[in-house]
Amino acid sequence: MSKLVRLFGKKRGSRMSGWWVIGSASEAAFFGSLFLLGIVSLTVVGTWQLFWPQSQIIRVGFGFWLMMIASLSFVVIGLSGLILRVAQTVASPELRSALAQQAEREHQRRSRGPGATSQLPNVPSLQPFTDSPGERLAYRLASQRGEIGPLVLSFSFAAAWNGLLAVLLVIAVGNFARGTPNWFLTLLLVPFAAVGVFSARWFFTLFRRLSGLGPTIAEISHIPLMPGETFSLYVCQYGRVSFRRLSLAVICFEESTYQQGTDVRTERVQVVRHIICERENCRSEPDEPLELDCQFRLPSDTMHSFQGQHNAIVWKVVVEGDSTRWPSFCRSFPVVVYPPSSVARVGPNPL
Amino acid sequence: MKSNPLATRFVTPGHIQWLAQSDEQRLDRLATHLQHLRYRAAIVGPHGSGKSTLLEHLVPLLGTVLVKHATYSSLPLQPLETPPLFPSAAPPESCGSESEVSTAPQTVDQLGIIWLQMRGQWASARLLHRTMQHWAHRNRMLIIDGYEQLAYPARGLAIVVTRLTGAGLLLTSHRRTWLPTLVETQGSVALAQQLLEQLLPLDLPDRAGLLDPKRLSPLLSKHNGNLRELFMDLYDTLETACETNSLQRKPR
Amino acid sequence: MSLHAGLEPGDGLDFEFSIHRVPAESIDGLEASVLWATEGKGSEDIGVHYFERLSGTQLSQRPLQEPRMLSTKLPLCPLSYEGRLMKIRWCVRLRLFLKGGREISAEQPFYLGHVTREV
Repeated sequence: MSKLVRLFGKKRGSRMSGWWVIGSASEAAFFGSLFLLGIVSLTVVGTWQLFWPQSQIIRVGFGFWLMMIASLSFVVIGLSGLILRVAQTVASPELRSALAQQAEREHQRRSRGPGATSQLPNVPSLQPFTDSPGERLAYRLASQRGEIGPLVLSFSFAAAWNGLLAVLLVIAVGNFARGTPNWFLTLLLVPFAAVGVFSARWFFTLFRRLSGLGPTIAEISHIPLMPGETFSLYVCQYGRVSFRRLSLAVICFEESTYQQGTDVRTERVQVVRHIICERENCRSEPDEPLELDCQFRLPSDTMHSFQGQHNAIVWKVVVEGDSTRWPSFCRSFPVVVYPPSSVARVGPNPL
Repeated sequence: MKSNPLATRFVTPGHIQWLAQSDEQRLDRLATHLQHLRYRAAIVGPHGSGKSTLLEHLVPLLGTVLVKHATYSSLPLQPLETPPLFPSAAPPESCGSESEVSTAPQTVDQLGIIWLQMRGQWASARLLHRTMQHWAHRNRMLIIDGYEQLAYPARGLAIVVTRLTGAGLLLTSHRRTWLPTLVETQGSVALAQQLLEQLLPLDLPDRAGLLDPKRLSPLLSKHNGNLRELFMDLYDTLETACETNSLQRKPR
Repeated sequence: MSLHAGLEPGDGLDFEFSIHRVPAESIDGLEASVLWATEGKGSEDIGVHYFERLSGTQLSQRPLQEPRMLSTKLPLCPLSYEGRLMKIRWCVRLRLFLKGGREISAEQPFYLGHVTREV
């Protein structure tokens, strides 16, 4: 008997059974609807007071304020639920775990001050990098992605703005139908509609880019990286996308923060860039992701990672792509480089 | 192991010189003026124009620094019962009116200075509250570096409470405040040139080029008169020149 | 002050110094430290690896001109570095405190490791 499609997934411990994607999408749709309902009711109540202050239908009083509070709570609950659900659906459990641990580590690092171990002061701790095992290679690297935030922001703005526009449009059309056109409202709709179109376009561009490119998985054979030693790197790019060029590089940045009185300035500059591998005119399909398997030897005079209170030397593995359909993208994965011959003194590699 | 002469350690307010651009800006004149203002005034100027530099050089002429660059966590608690630092100039039993401030400290030995650095509104408000509770006395002067970091009510409170307790108050701010302005600082090409003449070593290649007003003028305009940003810009120029020279000496 | 300019991480650092042209009775104390500090466009970070304070009495037990030796094992990091925004500099610093609040300080820089060359 063929399995029926279950609309809501079931959570069994940390595992999801059923059609959990559909379940998550349904939950997201529910919260989205709640958000839209809140926006629409808020706009109706607000505009009614603005354009028909003498109307007896919604008078300013207990009922009016109750509706305002209820609408606002719909907006808040709907938006929070939607953001949470989208974040949980788009991010992998590993990524969610890495993000949560990153926040915890950041908290610990701040409370402890710079310097992870007494043996290697001012070198970032290895623990965040070694607690996520890989499938092909020893460790899966946590990505530093900044794509979800703008997507959620653009969606929220576009939904709120176009919801407001829709309500104003209905009112304007109603006025025309009754033969009492409100020309001020009609003129107001033109700039409102322009902003609405641009906001929707902004959201769809981001959404297409994110859904088309898909996630990037990076795994590494060794952490920490040691100058003069060779390490393997495996990168898997999901999504349906054609690349004119896809490159994998190890990059070193210097970061400096200057604080004097009210003036705080932070500067970052790329000082080293080693191309590990580069591929041209390649393609990734949903059922056949693009895979890169490379090896690289760090030069023996490579500077180690450093974390001071105001200054830092940061190493990252960076995947950069130049797609035929999408704007160029860059995804980075922080790594740690130790000083030469320090591993033997600090302890063996965990794997 | 040559240092970049415009590295932060050489251009921070503690290291860089205060160069008076007029007779009124001379340190001794400013100290006397501040005394006449009963140690209640503001140093006003935009970012990177020398306010903190002036403080660093002016404060030693005013009194004894009890706490320097205090933030909330670094400000030591001093209970109110603690006797005044300088018993010879102990305040009268009642204080609060402007006329009583006429017994303000007259010598460097008599004024105890508490130097606060404002960082973020919330921390600054707590710092100010703690300072007012335990440190604001006659014979004391509070220095608030970064007055605009305080929320508006806290700004008013700082002025009112120090006046009531008879304490002095010296502020640095980007805009004029309720206190009289001691001096207005301003970055200029001439000042940048004078400072660079002191900072750049004589044997530096293209030293004359770096000091050229025609070169400094657009740079200073680009950074809206901010001398610190100008120095940071020239830091990069020197680094690039150094790298180029190094590559020419030993090609990789 | 004297030591070898280039040292490797984990090496022992033997540091010799002597004091000249300062009368012993005017000395309040001496602080010797081995430290690294950043230099560049950011605020300065500093890390003290070794610190010793000698009082005036301790110093006056032997003639000041006589060489004194301080020894420490160097750490594995941070290594000396010559970057663009920041540099990491190691040095031995002596701070001589004189009676009356005056102080004299002297620094002897050295290079830890061989990651970046002098530029």
